[in-house]
Amino acid sequence: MKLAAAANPLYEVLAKDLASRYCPVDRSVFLGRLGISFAVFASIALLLLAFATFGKQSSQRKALTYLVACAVAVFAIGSGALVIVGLSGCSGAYQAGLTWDWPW
Amino acid sequence: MDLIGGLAAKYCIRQDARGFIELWGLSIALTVGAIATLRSSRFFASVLIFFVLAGGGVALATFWSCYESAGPSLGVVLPNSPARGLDAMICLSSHAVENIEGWILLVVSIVVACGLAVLGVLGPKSLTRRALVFAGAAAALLFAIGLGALLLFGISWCQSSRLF
Repeated sequence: MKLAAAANPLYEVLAKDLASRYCPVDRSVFLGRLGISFAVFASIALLLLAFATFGKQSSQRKALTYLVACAVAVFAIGSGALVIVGLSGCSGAYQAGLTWDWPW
Repeated sequence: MDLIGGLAAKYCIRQDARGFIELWGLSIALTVGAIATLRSSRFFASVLIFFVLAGGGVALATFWSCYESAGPSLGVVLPNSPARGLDAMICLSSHAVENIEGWILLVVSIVVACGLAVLGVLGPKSLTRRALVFAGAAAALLFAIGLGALLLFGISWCQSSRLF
């Protein structure tokens, strides 16, 4: 397929299209925003962990707080990984009108 | 995965990122709910787990329809492009985020309906309160049925030949 992409100009156009659609206008700003949202989720998870560890609550509530803290951390890691994998497919200039704004 | 395939996969992730992240959040929330309610109501926990698995299926179907139709939707039919169901795939893929958000709303309303039904059985002893809880469950279920019908209609309308 690599050979075909090099030989066929249509494939080359398609590869360029796929690598430039829904890409951020400014990659560093985008990554900065991603880092901030990740930090917010990580802080929430850490606060919940601290609350579960040092708070005076029943063992059942403590377990539930640990569970929610883990869930927040897993959400942050999973969504961050998804965003980074998607972003790794961007190369070259972005296409006007089809940009990826962050977070929504 | 070849060059075009790899680019198409990442393109699909970017295109529907919002939907996938929302589905990911829903799956985690439902899993936490299932673990938390496993002891009190096995029925409710299994309903939640069912929707986690179904959400995975929705995510896979959305990704697959975008991945398979990425080339043709941009005007290039590859040798390994699917010959059948291409219109349906392009249709699903072009409304992926709306469909996923509709699915999330549907799941939330069904879960609320089931939760209220379980609460009605196990919870209040007063007849009036119990009636109110069951009425809420019925309303949530009716909303879910309406929304499900609307979603199915939207998807089949888009996939019909009228728009192509």
